[in-house]
Amino acid sequence: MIWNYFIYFAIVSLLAWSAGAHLAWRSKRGAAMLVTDIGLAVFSVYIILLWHALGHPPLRTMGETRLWYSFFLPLAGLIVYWRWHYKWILTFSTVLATVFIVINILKPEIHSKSLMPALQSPWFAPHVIVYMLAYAMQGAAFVLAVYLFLKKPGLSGKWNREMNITDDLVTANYALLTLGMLMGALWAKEAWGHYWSWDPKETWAAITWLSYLVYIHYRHAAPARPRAALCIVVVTFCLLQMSWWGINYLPSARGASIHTYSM
Amino acid sequence: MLALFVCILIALHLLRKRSYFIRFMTTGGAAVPALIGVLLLTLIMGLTRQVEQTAPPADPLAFTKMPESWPFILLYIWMTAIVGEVSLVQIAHPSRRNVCSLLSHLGLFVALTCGSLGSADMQRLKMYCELGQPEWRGLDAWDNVHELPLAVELQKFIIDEYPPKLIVVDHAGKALPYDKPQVLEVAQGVTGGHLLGWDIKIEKQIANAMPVPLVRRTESMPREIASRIQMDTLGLASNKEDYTATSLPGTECALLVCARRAGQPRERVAKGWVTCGSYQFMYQALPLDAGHSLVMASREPSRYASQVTIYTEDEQVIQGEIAVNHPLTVKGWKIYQLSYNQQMGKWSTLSILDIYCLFDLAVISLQFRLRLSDFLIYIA
Repeated sequence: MIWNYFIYFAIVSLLAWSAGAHLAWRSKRGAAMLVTDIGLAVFSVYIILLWHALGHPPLRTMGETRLWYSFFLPLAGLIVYWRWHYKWILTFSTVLATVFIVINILKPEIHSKSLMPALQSPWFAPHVIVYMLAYAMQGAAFVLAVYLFLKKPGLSGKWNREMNITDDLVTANYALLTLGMLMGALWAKEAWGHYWSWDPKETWAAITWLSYLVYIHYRHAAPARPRAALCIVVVTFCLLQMSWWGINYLPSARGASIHTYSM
Repeated sequence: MLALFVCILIALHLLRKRSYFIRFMTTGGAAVPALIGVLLLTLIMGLTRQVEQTAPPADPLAFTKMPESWPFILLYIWMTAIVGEVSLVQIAHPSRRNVCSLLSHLGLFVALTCGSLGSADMQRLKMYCELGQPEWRGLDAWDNVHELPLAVELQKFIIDEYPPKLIVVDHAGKALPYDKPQVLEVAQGVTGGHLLGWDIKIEKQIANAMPVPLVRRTESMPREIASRIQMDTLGLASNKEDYTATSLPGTECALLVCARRAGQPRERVAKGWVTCGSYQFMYQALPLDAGHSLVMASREPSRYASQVTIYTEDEQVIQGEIAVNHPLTVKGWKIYQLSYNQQMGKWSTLSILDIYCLFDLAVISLQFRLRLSDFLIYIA
């Protein structure tokens, strides 16, 4: 079974990402990015193999979405590092990716090959991949927000460079979430005939999406209060976790959601 | 209603210079509290179990049916009004810098207005189509009957299924191991495999099988009467004969399985038929040892579709197929495959369809395009 080989691909990728993080601390930018890229390439080979073995995109179960998350975290870290030269971001993205890879090794939540008819749609892959990319980018924004909140107590002013990065990450995430939501709406229309039905997963997606809007508008309305804005990023991240996996444990959503990741 | 709302917003925009309140509507000071308000109410909705669409709310503020709660509706309208006003201001004062923001606000305005105010105009009906019987009536969410300008006749209902799956269950019927159930998929050509230490050999596989006594009893009966006869567990337990392949309706896959497990002091062997059963006969499990049985999981559909003939008022006859994710569009109506008689599974003679008026489709595609262009401009 292809899942049994996951650990080997994961170890190679993690070694590459750790080496990339180490090289970033030593200011070897080119080498750091190259090694991180190699790790991403190895991981993506595994995703392609799994995709081929399953016969459908590996996006259905929690284990599969965690796989994408572990892939997109270092990718988001790499983009932030390439764009804004933060040395620490690769370390954080590697640590977070390690956490999700370890969960996948210990509790893989392997699944049958069956894909229910409603999921057999061209919208399936882009809808979930866009969401996973957004989730990973929000992970980067969250780490940045916590770092700024704890390490830079004197942070103020609208044009602070770090705050600009947070703004950019949140805005990009907001755009990705919106795209994911719209694709989901169009897909729901094709599958069930309605765009939006306040299913628990949809409700929590709306809550997360609204919290992004609160951040964006708060930054616009009160640019001189970055610390409060950073708190909103942290809250947004928590809401995002709720809508991703938290609702699986929420009594109000039990049995009521059509978005259940089942065995 | 939608047009009236837009007219009010335009009137407010024209009075903008005279009123501080209208100018305030387009500031962050108005947007942030409105967003937080909607966020909090949506959060309450996410944390409380919502009642069914047809049931009344379980609390006086209707928080258990949030989309119909007045605080939610009023806040929603207030937020939509703010978004509309901001869009108007940005349209009146276009600038390159504001293109992204304008597209975002305009897209959101279209989504909010058409998603809520427009939905009142949307007609959604459920149709229950029996094989060979034209159906022209639909039921709304409150089970009121509506007559449609077209009739749908189900010609054939098709289900493709995934291969049968064997699992080991405990005495309570729970799949083992509990945290990660193991499955043996018996696809075409598979002759065996391993399941929780048991060596499974498929000795015979019949795709359309029925217990021999049941075939004997029903084959000469009219189909209507035969479909009402069921063979229960008692009947199956006393079935000393095999399963046989037949073309009668109500068949299901049956596997003759031999399971072996090496052990001390002797090897354990269990042999017998395994099937998940159909509406005509119960499932049959193979007892492996005390507390463990080998069973076939209920079959999972990989695709289901209805072949239909549609008759319109202008005497057109249209043939088509409706499948999940592949709706059929006819004369301003869109028909979706919703469900079928799940008890009868692949033998279902009932197809449940959802039928919608088309008017709202154009709106969401416009909204999607606005969003997409906004995203592309942002990335650029």
